[in-house]
Amino acid sequence: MSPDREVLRVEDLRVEYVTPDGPIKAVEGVSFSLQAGQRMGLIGESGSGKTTLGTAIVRLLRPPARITSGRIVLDGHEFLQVGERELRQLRMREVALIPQAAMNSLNPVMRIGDQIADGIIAHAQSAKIPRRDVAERVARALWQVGLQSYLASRYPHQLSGGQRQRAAMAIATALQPKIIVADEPTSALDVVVQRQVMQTLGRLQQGLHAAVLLIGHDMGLVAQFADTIGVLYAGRLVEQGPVEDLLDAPRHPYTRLLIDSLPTLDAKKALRGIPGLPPSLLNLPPGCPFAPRCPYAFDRCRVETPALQPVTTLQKAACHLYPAHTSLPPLPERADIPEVVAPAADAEVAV
Amino acid sequence: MSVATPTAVTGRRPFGTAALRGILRSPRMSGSLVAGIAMVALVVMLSLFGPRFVNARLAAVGSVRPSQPPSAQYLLGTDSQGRDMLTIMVLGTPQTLRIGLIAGVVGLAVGLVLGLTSGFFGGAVDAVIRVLADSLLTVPSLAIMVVIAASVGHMTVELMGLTVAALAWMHPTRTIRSQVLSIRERSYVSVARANGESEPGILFREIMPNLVPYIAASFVGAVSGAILAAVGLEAIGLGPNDVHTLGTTIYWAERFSAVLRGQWWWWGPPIVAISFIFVGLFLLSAGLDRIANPKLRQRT
Amino acid sequence: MTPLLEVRKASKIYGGGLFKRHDKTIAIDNLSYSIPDEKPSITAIAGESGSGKTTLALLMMGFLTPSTGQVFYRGRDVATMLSAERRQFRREVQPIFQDPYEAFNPFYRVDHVLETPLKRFGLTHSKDEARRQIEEALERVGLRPNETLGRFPHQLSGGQQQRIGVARALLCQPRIIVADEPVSMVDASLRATILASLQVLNRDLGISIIYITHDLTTAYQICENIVVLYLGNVAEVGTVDRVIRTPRHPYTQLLVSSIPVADRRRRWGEDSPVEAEATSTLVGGSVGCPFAPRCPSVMDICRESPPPLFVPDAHRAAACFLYRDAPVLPTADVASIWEKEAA
Repeated sequence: MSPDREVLRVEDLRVEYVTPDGPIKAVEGVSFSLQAGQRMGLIGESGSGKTTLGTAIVRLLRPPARITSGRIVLDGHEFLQVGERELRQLRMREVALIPQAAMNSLNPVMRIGDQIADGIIAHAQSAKIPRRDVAERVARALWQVGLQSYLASRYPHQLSGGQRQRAAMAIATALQPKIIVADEPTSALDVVVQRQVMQTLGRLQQGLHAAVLLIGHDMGLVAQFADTIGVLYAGRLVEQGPVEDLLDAPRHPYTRLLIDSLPTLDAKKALRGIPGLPPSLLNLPPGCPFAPRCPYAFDRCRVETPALQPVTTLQKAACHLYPAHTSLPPLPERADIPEVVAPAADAEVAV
Repeated sequence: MSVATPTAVTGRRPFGTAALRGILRSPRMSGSLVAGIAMVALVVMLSLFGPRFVNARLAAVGSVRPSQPPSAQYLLGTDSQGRDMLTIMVLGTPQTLRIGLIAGVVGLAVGLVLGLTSGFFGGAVDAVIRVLADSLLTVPSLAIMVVIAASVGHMTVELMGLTVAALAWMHPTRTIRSQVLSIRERSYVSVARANGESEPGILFREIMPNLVPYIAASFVGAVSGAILAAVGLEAIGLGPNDVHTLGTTIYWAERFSAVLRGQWWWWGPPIVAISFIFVGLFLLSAGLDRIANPKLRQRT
Repeated sequence: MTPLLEVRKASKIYGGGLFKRHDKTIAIDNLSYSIPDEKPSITAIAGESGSGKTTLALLMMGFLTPSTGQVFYRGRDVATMLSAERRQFRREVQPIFQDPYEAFNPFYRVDHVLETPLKRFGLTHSKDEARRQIEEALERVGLRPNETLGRFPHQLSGGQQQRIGVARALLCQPRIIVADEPVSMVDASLRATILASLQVLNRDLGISIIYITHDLTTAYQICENIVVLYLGNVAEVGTVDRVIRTPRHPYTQLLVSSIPVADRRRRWGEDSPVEAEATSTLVGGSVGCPFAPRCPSVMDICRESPPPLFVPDAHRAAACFLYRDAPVLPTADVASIWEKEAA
């Protein structure tokens, strides 16, 4: 496989929310890169910073959120340094965001085709698109997401949920960007439609040979789509690696516990959640953010924050167990299910 | 995800100066709200305590030298009937406020009862109240009030308040009704039902407390509208004839050609006072609106 | 033996009426389902949006009245119950809602929602007793009372809020808990804990759980039985082992194959289903199987008359003409499929 060129590189990105009680560090030093045509998934639960990260990458953060440091290199451009005009040109043409609940953000009083055309026309001058080509491009955008061209003259309320989501995807990708950031694109959809929309995203990606950053909380969904997965916890990337490796042999304790907590259809097993709560991003304790809930934690974990380091050729993890170990030791015994009965065993840390 | 507030972080509510700072820094406090409260408070203070410091006799016809511009002796001058303007202003402002208050309270009370009933019970009751409110909303209220006021023999402050209240209840009814409709569908109302709460219990314990910001905003709006209507009626001579109000002062000023005569100290002060009251009430209302509607709170 | 809760030939129709005859929507179509009194069960009612699962839940809780048919509790028709019986019904059938935050009145601290049922149902006689019961309920769901009580809802996480919801239901000493998608808005790592607590309530306190969901994997994990709904009709019903691991109805098969599994060896495949979404809800006047427009195995008979529930193997029934050689379920009550006698 010929090495694809790098289209996105995020280096030590930090984002914080300015609040009267102090800064909330939503993203703390995240670094990764995407090659052309690569599918990467970012898994995180609420409070992990995944939506903030996605929005930051396209520079659509609104105050009180702000990027405090780091670099984003978008297809060679220093994305954090470019001026307003170049920024607007780069958006949509180079990188597009499919935001959460995109299907609810369609303009209810505009036809679908017009909404797609909106974005195209806004870029017409800079992208040197003659106006007469707009209709053709609208048709192509719809075709790319598997929607029939007659839907261009319909209003959002006349479309089903899945169609609306795909329409939102068509609007975002009308200018055939090289990078697509999709933030929970199927969160409000039923499972059958979800599959269809994800398959559409896949075909869209292949057609454009675009790199896709899929952000979500559903490990199964992300695993079905992405080739590489990054796991976010408390604003940090704690593990990264190819999907198969990550699922078969996760290297970070959080990933391991997360996968264990997933119900499966294979056999009924005792349900194991992760005790405790994610930490408050306002007053992060020193050391590893996962230490309070980690079954493997030892003294060093509470003092020193581990850096993301390679564990195997392709897998990286931010954990002090490495490089001393090569993989996760077996889980220590837990006074487990039914954990609901014994309050002492459950460390419920209030935020 | 929980919000990082001092209470959330420490689990205890602050008190003392910390509490005051907390309240002032709270997202509920906006510039409008603080300014509005300050202005209205000033007027209320003046109305409550002002009359004690002035000699009411100076407001009677012929008590002082007429048509004097402001001077050290008569700070706001005197009118052509020989009344001290400062005294008139200090005595008249509370009366105007009283009218506004009576109309506001009556209008709001009626609106609250009708709005709650209409929104909560729905069906035929809702249809009747809604049709009634909607039709009266379209009626030119000032015209009706003129008719009512003109037919009243002896107009007092209380009657004035009631006249205005008659056409002040529709807006609060609609506002409260729509809020009740939306709250009614919330999960926590179903939870209350599952908890064994009776329907009246749900109305008073679950729905009403969440209406407080809307009730407050409606009240301020009603008072504001009432004062406007009252001033309008008074300015054309239909006001109370036994007391001074800001509007009646304007009437007399116009009647005695104060504008033509250049006696700005007669028509000026009431206008300034009315404007001040309105701006204060408006800012207060805008501030309360921001509390009621959280979407307005974000500054982006 | 009288079932504890019974839905008998119930339909719920919205819209319609004199002027809007074409806008009728049938949310539930002639459904019969009962919950037995003897043994506490955990049953899943599964379906996508538009399946009628939430409507069925609301009917079972008495929050909605059926357009036709009846709902019985302890043998008494809910519509004609006396007030004391109604109170018992209200207390013994408790809900857990999907959105943890919306279940709280933002005006009050979370204590309010826990104290109210004790007061209204007269379950305690003193404040101390009430406090003790509340603390016990909170601990039972894995919360620490001193970190939960006295807080406002927005100061707690979604997982904590939802657990309080479970504790609230528990305080009413219910016989049945109807949980409507209780974990869909909660983080994955917390779902297991909340679901486990439901299992414990069933096992230790004998409470029957109705688990409404669109997520077949969690349904498989905690439930014994499952009813799959499609556009207000029962598509398939049986034990979770049968229905989810070897689905017979084409719709169930579609659902199961669309589940994203965190396993690269089991991919979705590139083929898309014919029609990913139901393009119309069930309207009055349509005949035949509701799934016919989307079914890959559709036959002529499917469009002509609605399929009854056939029993192709033990403890499972599917409403599909593919199994027309199998015997038909003798009673309208779909719960009869789980009875020991039915083989």
